[in-house]
Amino acid sequence: MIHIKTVHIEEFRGVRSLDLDLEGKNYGICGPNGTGKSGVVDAIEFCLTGDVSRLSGQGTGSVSVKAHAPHVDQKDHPEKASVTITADIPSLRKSVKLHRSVKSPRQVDVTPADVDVLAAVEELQTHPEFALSRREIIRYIITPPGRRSEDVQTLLRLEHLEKVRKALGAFANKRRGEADLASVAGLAAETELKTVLGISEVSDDLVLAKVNEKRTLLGLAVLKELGETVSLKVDVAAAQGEEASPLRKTVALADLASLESAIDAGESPELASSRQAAASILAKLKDDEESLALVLRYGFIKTGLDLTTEDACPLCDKEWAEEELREHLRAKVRSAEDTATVLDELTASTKPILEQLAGRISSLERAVEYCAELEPPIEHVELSAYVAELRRVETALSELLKDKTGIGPALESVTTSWWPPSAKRVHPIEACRRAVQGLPDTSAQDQARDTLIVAQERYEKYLRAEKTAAREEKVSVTAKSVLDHYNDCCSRVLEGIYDSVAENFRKYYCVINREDEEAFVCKLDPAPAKLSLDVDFYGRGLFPPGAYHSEGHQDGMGLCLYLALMKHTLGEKFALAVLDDVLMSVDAGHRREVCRLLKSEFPDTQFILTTHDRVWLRYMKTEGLIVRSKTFAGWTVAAGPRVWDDRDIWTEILEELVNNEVAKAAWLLRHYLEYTATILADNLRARIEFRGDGRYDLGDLFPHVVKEWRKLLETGEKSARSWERKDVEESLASKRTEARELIVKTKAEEWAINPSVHFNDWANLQPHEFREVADAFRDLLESLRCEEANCRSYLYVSPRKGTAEELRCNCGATIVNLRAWA
Amino acid sequence: MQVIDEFVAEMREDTSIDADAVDRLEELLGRGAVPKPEDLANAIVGPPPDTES
Repeated sequence: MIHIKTVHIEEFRGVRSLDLDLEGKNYGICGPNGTGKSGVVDAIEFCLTGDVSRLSGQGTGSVSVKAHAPHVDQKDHPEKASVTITADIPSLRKSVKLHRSVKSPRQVDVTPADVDVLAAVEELQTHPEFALSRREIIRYIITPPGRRSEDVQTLLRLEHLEKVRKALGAFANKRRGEADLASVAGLAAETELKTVLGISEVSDDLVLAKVNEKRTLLGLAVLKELGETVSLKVDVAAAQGEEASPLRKTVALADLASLESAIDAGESPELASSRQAAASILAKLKDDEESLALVLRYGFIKTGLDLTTEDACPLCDKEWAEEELREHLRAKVRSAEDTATVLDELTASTKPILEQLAGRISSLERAVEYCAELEPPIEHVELSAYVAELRRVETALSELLKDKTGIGPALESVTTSWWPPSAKRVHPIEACRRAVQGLPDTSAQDQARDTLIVAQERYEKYLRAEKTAAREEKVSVTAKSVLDHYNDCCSRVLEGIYDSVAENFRKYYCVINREDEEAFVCKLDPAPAKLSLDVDFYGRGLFPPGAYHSEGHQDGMGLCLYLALMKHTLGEKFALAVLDDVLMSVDAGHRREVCRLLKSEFPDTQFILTTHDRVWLRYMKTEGLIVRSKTFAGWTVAAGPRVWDDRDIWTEILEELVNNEVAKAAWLLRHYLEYTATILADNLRARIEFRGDGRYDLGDLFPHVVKEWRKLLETGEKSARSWERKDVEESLASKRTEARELIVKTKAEEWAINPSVHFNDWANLQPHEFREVADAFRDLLESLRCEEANCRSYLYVSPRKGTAEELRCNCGATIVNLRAWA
Repeated sequence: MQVIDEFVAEMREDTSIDADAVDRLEELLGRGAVPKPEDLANAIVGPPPDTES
């Protein structure tokens, strides 16, 4: 990460040509809406990453960086749009110059092109989240848990975990489906084996008994056990010394009789029930396509419900009463959930149909084979057509299990009468059976031999199918276990990460809200594919952030969560953050605390902050968060932002005096002091006469500020004396003496009793006389700051309410104890 | 990586999952890429018989 020293923008977005001199320090950019502030943020993001998230993110449609990043008057000349940044890389103790043109947004010129510098620049491109707008920051707070999970995981570089989770989930689902199909195939193989052996169920005892009955008839050794290596027909061929017939009369007759018997039995009650249930559900879904559409849009509607926070549709902005819209969406969700339950029932009723279909198709295909093997062959076109029809039904239902939108073909499959075949279709089976019966009779030994040969084939097939089904079931169970373990571990590890992030989030939020929410607690609760955030509301319990907190508090939460996430992700490398108007709704009391938070908790991070509020900018300066700034006073398409350099006030006053413009210098000093006195009165808890209109002039404020300042120093002295801290007491006494002298020079305490020194008369002074006044105020104000060069914040009383405990600065280098030894 | 380490350790304690499958999954996920379905199949089921040697 880097600290930016200078930025040069050329023909980029709304900017024609602009230079910013940041000196590697925090920097403020202020201006009304539409004056080009965000264009500067875009330019920095573009130079560092090659992208502009506002032009390439979600919802940007046909807008693109290459086409729309250049100034509109240079839209056909992307080579003229460029950004150049010079920066320090603290971790390398090196400086770097980066130049990127919109013509080649993926290419950045890096000088020097050292390997370590290039690596640092490369790393920047992987962390585009250093630039953050209010729209982005609030999404961490007001967002559905699923979406927050994605956003937060992206920022934490954890999105890979989610992708792996999805891959494992998809794999587990696929293997479940394959296990179900293998189970269906196993049932079909079992039916075939039962048919050839004439047994009611497949068990080792029944199979062995039947096989040994045949073997005994052939004079062969009985088998003692079954298994993959045991052949049911061992020695059979050798005993007969003949080639096996392709069509074995006994077996064929058994198969055909079984098929005819099944056809005669008609549709089993179980099949009829399943088929009718499926038909009923499918017909209902077809009639109520809206229900099905609701199921498909279920997640979308749930998201819409979470996003509904105002009197308008979150998608199209159509006006709705918020509660009415919520109820409307809730009704849709309820309907969708009901329909989802119906779809589960559909799956349950479809599986038995598929099982029965597999058996029937297998039997019919065997009958077709017999028809073809007979001499002369039996005409089996109608039978094959029946098989093809059943195959279509099987395909339609299988597809339905994968995709619930395939209702039409599936409904047709379960409502039309396909199970009892027509007489025309049954005829080939009868003809085939008669033809097989007409074959020469075989001896009991031949029949036994044929049975054993076919039984062996089918037993092998049955074993294979059973093995496959068992293997697929095992794989399915394993895949599910793997997924479960992964989800457990992800949740556990993420919980640890989120606990750490939540702790920092809580800490930062307490800093900016210590007056009213010092006991604030929060909970980031991860679950697979979602991340819930609940925050305390004044001790009344944990609620989603949007439930009760004001917009200003939500903005503050967004910033705190962002900072906590960046701290976790980048640690010491969190060197740059560009915050684009992210705290626009934070109230004045909390803004100062935000400045203190950024300055105290992130002293090594360079913040570039934009705001449309000049008061905000002043707070940033007063609190020492920023030193330099740029103010945009207006914007035109032809010229870009009109820049007003916000120079040091004392330099400005001096320049006016050099030009003999005492009145202007007096105006500047008076307004600056009025503004600063407001800050100091608040900081020092000065006792000001209350005004209902809230309009305080300098005379209302400043005398009370200096009075309170002297009083605080005196209180500090007394406290040090009580604690026997002689050194502190002497230091404070010296400070109080200095304060008295500086205050005397300003004559502020005489305003009320001596009209000739009142600030109203400053404009009548000679330049050298006014220079003395201005210097006196400058020196006095400087004495109210922390002496630490990196802090320089105005001292303030803590806590802000109740008994004053200490007078302190932001960095903690200056802390004056105000409590005396009891 | 912490997730992968804990995930592998947890799977090793699960006696219903073959140790070889855990080894293959550890190797697969250790590559850092999102696993493809065929790679997951190879890891969880084992390599196809013709490549088993």
